[in-house]
Amino acid sequence: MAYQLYRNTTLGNSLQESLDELIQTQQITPQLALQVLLQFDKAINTALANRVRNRVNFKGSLNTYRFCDNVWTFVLNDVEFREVTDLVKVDKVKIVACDGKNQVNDYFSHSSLIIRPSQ
Amino acid sequence: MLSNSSHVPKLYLSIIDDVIESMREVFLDEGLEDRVLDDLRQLWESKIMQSKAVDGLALMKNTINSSNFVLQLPPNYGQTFSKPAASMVIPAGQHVQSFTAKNNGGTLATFSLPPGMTYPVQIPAGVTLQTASGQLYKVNVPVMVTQTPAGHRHLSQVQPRQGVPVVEWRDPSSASQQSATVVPSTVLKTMALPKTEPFSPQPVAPPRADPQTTEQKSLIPPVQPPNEKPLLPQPVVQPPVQENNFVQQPQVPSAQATFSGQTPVSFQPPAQLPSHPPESPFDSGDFNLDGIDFDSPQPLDMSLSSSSAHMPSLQVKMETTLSEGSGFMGQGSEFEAREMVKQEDHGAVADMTTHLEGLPVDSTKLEMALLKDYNYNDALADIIQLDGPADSSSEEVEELEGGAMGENEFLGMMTVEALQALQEVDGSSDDGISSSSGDSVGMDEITVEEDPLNSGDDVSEQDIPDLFDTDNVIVCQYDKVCFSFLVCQYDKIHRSKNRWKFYLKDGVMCYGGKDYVFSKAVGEAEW
Repeated sequence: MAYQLYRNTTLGNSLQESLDELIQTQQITPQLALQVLLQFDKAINTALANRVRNRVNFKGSLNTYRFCDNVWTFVLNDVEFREVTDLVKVDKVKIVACDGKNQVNDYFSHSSLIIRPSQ
Repeated sequence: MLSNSSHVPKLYLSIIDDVIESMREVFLDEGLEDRVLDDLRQLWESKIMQSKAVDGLALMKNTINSSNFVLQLPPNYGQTFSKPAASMVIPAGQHVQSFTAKNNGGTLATFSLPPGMTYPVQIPAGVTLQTASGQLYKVNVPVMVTQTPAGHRHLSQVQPRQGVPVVEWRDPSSASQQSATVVPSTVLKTMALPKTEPFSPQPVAPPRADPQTTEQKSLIPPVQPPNEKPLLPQPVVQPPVQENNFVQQPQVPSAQATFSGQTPVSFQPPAQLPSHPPESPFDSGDFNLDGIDFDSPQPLDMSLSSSSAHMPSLQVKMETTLSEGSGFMGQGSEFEAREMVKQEDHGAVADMTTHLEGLPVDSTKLEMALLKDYNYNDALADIIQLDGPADSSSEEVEELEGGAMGENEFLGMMTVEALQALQEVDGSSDDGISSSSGDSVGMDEITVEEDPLNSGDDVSEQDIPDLFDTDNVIVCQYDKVCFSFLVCQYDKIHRSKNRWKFYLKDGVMCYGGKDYVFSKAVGEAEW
């Protein structure tokens, strides 16, 4: 199962909100919404792995770090993101990173907040 | 980031396409219509565009899904309407765009919708729409073309509640089907509407070679239940239109006759229009589209209060049942309670589904939250905990539940137990629990000892909860500019003293309010 990490991105959040709206108007069931999200997870993982080919460098100061359940969470301050073309500076950025080597573990597998489809 | 910003919209669209297409079969298996999936897509894309996190998504979409339709003015357009036919004002949402069309009697005035045109688009009455395939559809009443989720290949499904003629729209160039819902102004509801009946897409489809690649417009009679015969005149449900509909009826067969797949289809002679009362604002040329509530949530809202009241009672009922089970009846009922909870768990989804059908709108979300809470907080709280902090004193716990004690008392006991277990007090635990008075004493003792124990913990924890307590997700919704968030996978994280090096991959970033993606990122920071 693909990482559910990307659900909290613009793309993922907008999908979840749309699904919520459809659930509220009873056009779909929550089960189906979950299926959509799972499909989204697969699609975005695949897309990022295959369709993106660019590199970014960044530098800043590390405010905090956390490693729990194979997930790193950092908060950096005064960061410069540098791509080939240009530079963006931000005061604060939160980085959430799942293990790139082993995709067996889901980011949310331990929390069981997500109702899994009974298949 | 020029290179990135050009990649992101394409990437997002490709992801959206992937997801939607792969869900198409699943949706159909579930018995849902295509339009629901299209709804989802529309909502999704509009939200992304609204967030402005992606530059040029709208532009990219419109390039891919450019749609053209041709407007043909009827020969006597000028006669019927006082409004000058030279220009038609089509307000589209916030944008007002005007199109001039040649109006020389019967000449064809064509223009295509510019790619940047956004919905809703209002089309005045008397306009004939010609699809790219050459098929003509006459709009009898001023309509507003909106890009709503209601569009559907089968018009039968698209019926809005308010007696609205629906125009269905297929993009010529893309596989994805956009659907436009045409909504007449409320002002014009008294005008004749059902002329448009024969234009249901089902008869349209056969004459057209490829409904997917050609643009089809069809006007549905308002408020039509899905599966009536498309070509027959259908009674209009909307009350104000009844009398007009009645007038219209004899006209329909003639329209039907003309509609046999031949291109010029114009079944309402414009002469009919003046027969309508001129006092309607229609003639004034003021095409007011207020009050068109396509998918009115009103009927749903009305039962919201009752449904929301219903749900808490569900939860309360379960809680009290469980508490009774655990408190008073000893082990046997504890298992019963557990089973009930388990059944509730397993049945949760099914229950939720059935329940959802009965409960509209926001109540479903509430119920989901409720169910989650119930399952993961209350259920756990109500089930007697035999592990965790209560581990070492599990024997006492079992004894306690055998006694006739209420749930609250039991939990109070458990707290004491937990504290005692934490403090690794060996002998006193057995003594302090057997009687309630002993418990209260025990609690006091524990409380006194607790303070110095915990006070040492407080100091080091101050920064981190505050830091992570910024609750970044919420912040980003209010102020995208300041908030930055990066989700990715890590290849390697390296630290040397206080120098950290990050080797990341496959990430999505949002900073400066904009979205970026990367396949690899390397960073360093000092802690």
